[in-house]
Amino acid sequence: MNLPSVNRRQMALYVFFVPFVFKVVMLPGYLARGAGRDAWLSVALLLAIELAELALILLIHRAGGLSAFREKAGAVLSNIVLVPLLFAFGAKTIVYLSEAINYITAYLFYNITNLSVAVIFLVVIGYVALRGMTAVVRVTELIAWLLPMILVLGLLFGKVHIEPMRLLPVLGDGTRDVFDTSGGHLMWTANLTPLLFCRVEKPEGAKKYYVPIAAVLAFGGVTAVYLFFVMNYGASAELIENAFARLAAFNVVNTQIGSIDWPAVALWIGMATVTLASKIFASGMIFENAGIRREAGIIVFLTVVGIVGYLWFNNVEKAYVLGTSVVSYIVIGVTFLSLLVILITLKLKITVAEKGGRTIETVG
Amino acid sequence: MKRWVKWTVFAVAFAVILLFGIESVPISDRAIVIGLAVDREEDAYMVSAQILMASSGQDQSTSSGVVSVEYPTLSGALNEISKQTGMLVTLSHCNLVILGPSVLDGYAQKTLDYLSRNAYLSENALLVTSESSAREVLSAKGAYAQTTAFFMQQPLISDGQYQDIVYRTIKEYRADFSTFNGANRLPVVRPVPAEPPMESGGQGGGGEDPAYVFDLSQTAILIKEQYVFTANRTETAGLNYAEPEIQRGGLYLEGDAGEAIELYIAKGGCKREYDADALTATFDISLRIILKEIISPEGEVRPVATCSLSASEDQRLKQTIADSVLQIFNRAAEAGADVFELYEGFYADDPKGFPAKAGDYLTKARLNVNVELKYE
Repeated sequence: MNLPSVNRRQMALYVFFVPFVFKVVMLPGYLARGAGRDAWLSVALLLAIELAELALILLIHRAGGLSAFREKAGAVLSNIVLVPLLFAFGAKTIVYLSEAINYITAYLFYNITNLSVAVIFLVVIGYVALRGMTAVVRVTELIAWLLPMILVLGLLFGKVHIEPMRLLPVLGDGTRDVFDTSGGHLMWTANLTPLLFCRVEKPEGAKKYYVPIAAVLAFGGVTAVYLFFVMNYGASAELIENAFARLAAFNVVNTQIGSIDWPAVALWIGMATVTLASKIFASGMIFENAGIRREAGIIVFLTVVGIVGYLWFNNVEKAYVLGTSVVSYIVIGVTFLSLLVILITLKLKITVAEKGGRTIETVG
Repeated sequence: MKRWVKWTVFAVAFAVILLFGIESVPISDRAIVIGLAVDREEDAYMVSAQILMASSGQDQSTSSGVVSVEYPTLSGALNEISKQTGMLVTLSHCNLVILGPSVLDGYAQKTLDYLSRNAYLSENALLVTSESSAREVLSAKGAYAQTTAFFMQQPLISDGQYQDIVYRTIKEYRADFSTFNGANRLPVVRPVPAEPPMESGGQGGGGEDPAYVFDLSQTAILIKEQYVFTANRTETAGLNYAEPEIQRGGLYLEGDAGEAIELYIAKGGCKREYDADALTATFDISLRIILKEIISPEGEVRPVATCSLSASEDQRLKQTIADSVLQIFNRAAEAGADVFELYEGFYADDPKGFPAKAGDYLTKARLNVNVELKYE
């Protein structure tokens, strides 16, 4: 398996941005519907799951990564472990793609059909995926500069109209709604799996802190977005779509300076491309592991996802039903099970390899 | 990746974008709506849009026109306006929405639900209501600007938040609508003939088409979809004194010896505390005040740099501010409107115990108002 190389800075940027992307658009309204003012606690639980996933991925990399797993486990076992991830990536791609298309058609253009946007978007993310994980993380590096621009514009021109009291009482209605809501939206977490399909440089010096710091910042940043969301909208939060774009307008009435949410729009679309492209790239690597050319695998995967999405999940409401169905439990189960099996296999001192058609078992 | 593959992908992508590309409407074919007025007539909406029109002649000025359409639905009305004007209606620059009194009774939330879900209208657009029909207000000629919608927005945006003008956006309206009581507030815009009479756009003379200035000192109070009453200037100020932040404002006080004293509120805000057991809310209002002008009964202007308020004047000023808050609170409570969201405050203080005794909390609740003034 020819895994692309990613440095610690690129990995850290990926770890920082990817947890944001699909948690700050439609999800805030969904979580507010279930957990009310405690939606920020619901998302914190989802982020904790993502941190757990990251921990497993880092341990896997420390133990040798996917290449070492392939050597140890052999082709058959590695395919058994990795192929189910195709289902996870496929389901998430359908749900997230629908959300991205809805964002573009509802927020950016007048009277445009989903199909137009879907076709163009699939071509873009397919191209980035074909270029590989190196291209994905380089795109992340480039568009990351939009984040300080958003913050500067907000500080310069934004107005603060928040009511901290809208957060109170915390857990006033108990914890059940919070847990139920998180549990019903597992499709929107554990998005760092594509990091498995690359080689990460061994951290030295300060670089070993990049990824943990990025993870903590992502956790804090997403939670902060939700806190601001609830403080802004109160009980009407459940009616809000595209929360990030609305918050990024910083309450500016666009009379004198125009709308200042455009950097947020550009950043979000860029990161949505990165998130989706990395999943599709990872799917291609799974095909490669199974002996099929990566490029062909990507095209097949995109075609299947595109057709299934168009036929059965062609709007954001249907995609939401998919995202909150039993499929989400299968996706999260497959993801963590795969990671655990890979890690355990790497830690075990047993090698199962195939040589000349014979199975050789070595211990030591 | 091989070069021919990359070029093939580019070519396919280019062709796809050309074939499936978005319909591009040039800006000259767009009806840029800068103000929207909505009234309700029998079973239909009367939607009026103030549209910016660029002059195509040598004179590069922009003017505006108001187009009105009656239609059963809002989106249908906007489509009709597009047809009438021959241009695609664009709401992305609409920063002012006027809801007529006919909409306030039962249709405000339904109207705003469409407008706010319509992503092209910013949720930060200003929301006002009117005494007369919204269309009349939008069509009234502004005394100091040709475009009424821009002129009306000025006191609400550029001049900051005066303590006797309520500032409301679609987002804030929706947030308050979703509270337990659903009490809401909207500034009432009243066209007042300009004195001396002027023509629209700031020209003097008082021609056949008189111009107006717009008074925003009154506030409509609503509960969910129902209009309840209109708060006067003092009560409007009372609403704003209880806000977390007051940007600026003016205060007038009659001095101990009959002087006319004008003061300026430089900054201020209110902190609230709630005691659910005692059903008591305490508002601590803090204002930074600048003494601006003192005119004696004889007409003598006193130097403010060397003057200050006496203890009794200071006390009377504080009492005036506190009384305005209590006045609006009591009037709203009688009408069943929880304008200060006391329910949310008491619930935050005692989430387990309060709901059980929340039945008639509004009539039993007490409001204590403390005012602190810092003179600069």
